[in-house]
Amino acid sequence: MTRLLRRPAALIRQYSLWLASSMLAVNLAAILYGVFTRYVAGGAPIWTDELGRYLIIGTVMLAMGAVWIEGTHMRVALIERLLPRRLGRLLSWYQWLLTLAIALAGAWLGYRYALSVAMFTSQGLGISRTVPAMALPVGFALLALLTASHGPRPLPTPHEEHNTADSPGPENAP
Amino acid sequence: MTLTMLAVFLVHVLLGLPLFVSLLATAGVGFLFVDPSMIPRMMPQQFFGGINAFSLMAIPLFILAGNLMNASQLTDRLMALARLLVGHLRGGIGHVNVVSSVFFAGVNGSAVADTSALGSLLVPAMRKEGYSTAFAAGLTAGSSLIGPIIPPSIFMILYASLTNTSVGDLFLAGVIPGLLLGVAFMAMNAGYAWRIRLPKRVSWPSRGELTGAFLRALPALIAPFIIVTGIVMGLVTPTESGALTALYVALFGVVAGNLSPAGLWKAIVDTTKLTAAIFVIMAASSTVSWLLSYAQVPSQLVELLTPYSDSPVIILLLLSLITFITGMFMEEVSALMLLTPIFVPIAELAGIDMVHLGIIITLNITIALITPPMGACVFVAAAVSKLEITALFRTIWPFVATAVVVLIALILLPSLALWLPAHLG
Repeated sequence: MTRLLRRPAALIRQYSLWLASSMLAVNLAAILYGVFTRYVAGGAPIWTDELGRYLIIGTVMLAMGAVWIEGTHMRVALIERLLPRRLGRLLSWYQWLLTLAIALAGAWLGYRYALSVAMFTSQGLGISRTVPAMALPVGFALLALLTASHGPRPLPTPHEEHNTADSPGPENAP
Repeated sequence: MTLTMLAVFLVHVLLGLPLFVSLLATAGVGFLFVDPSMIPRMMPQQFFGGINAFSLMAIPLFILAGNLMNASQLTDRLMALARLLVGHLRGGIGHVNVVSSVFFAGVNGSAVADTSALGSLLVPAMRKEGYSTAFAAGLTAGSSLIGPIIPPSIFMILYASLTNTSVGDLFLAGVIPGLLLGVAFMAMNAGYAWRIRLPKRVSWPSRGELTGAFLRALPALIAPFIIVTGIVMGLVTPTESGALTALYVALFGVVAGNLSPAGLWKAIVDTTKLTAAIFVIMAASSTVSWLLSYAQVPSQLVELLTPYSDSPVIILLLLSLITFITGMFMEEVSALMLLTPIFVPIAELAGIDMVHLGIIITLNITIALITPPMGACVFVAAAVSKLEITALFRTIWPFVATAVVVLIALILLPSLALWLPAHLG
């Protein structure tokens, strides 16, 4: 089943990352627009702050799955390299199942949460709070789909991707 | 419950699960202890709330500014200036490494990016000059700690959002400690160069060379002033400052002909990936942090430390020790997210200034980037130096000790951090 999912998953990964990056670019433009209107037009609109916050949540949730499949989420890939092959395979299965379970639970809980805040309207944009909160179920569902398509194979690491050296580690720390 | 949560977290981290998955699994177990019926309501609410803050948006924008700086080749100009300024001294190439870190710190608050960018260029050059690979890699990793201390700093923005402290004051408070770290690592390098009798260069740069390099690096050198001045004068928020810095660097790159549309898009995509990796940890940490507060862990720790509350120095030393040990086994963003809410009431009880506490926690968390077994900068330094990670972990301790000496100086002399915000803030 994971093989069947791989092709659509590759497309989803590509488009979700593209959309997330576009949202970040729009976010930057919204913040700059806020500064511009404050100093040039004499007053900043109240929606830029809220739009920025919601866009960054959308960016994070949309990119979460793509980042997982690229292996760039921060983690310590030390023990799995030291384990014998059979134990290593068992560990890969555990990593895969736990991530999948958490992603599916996150999608379900996020969906219920998004519906539970439907009666509230945001102050700046005047939209239902469900709209930004839907980033949670969508993001976790994408993570679940991409995790399922990856299968119980070892997680890639940035070093493997870029082939720089063989030492493990959380490459993306700030 | 707290110990079980800690055990679940550490086991999952060691098993190689991504940190946000480990944190969410930990939160799930914690909720089972507290009240499983709270899971559907509190977990998504805390996860969403953990990243729903305008002030946190400064983080991706400063990361973007750093990525654009690299894409625009401004970092090369900074390194060229550092080479002319200190390259002629004994052990000059090591000094160039440290001074470049100071310059980089002004535009890029990421220690790992600093290690990666400088290490790949300077470690081979240092080796050629007679340095051991272990020392060259250690100095690269060590001096990269300056990055998150000199503004802008991702850790400081995060701390400020958790404690409602002024980002401007924190940025100002980081300047002197960051420069102190630089001086300490330069002194260490000078001692090493003298011990292994590295030759002294005779040729000094001419005034024309220096002026030319300074003018070429000027667009990058003024970036930190734009950032700090705008925030301190109240003209812009830290988030707006991040956006303006990114715009400034992008415009410079385009005008100078170094930034193509493809380069611009790549910088945005790289920023998106790193932002997702950091923010998802912040969201998951926020869930665990809420659980710890619900289980009254901070108040229990306050009770435990109350007998020492009349001595801010002892409290800060104890908090530093806790952070140091936690940082060894936990990723830095999650450690900061989890420890800060616990430490704040203790610090308030002891009358510690929140800006001072912020600098101490930031430096502590930053030191964790070079401590075994999870020091991200050491992993990167080992990778770019083609050195065994275990060998570098054995030789990194003098660099950790140097940073700890600066930390102790900051604890004993709060004015080192507080003088600048008091006069300019």
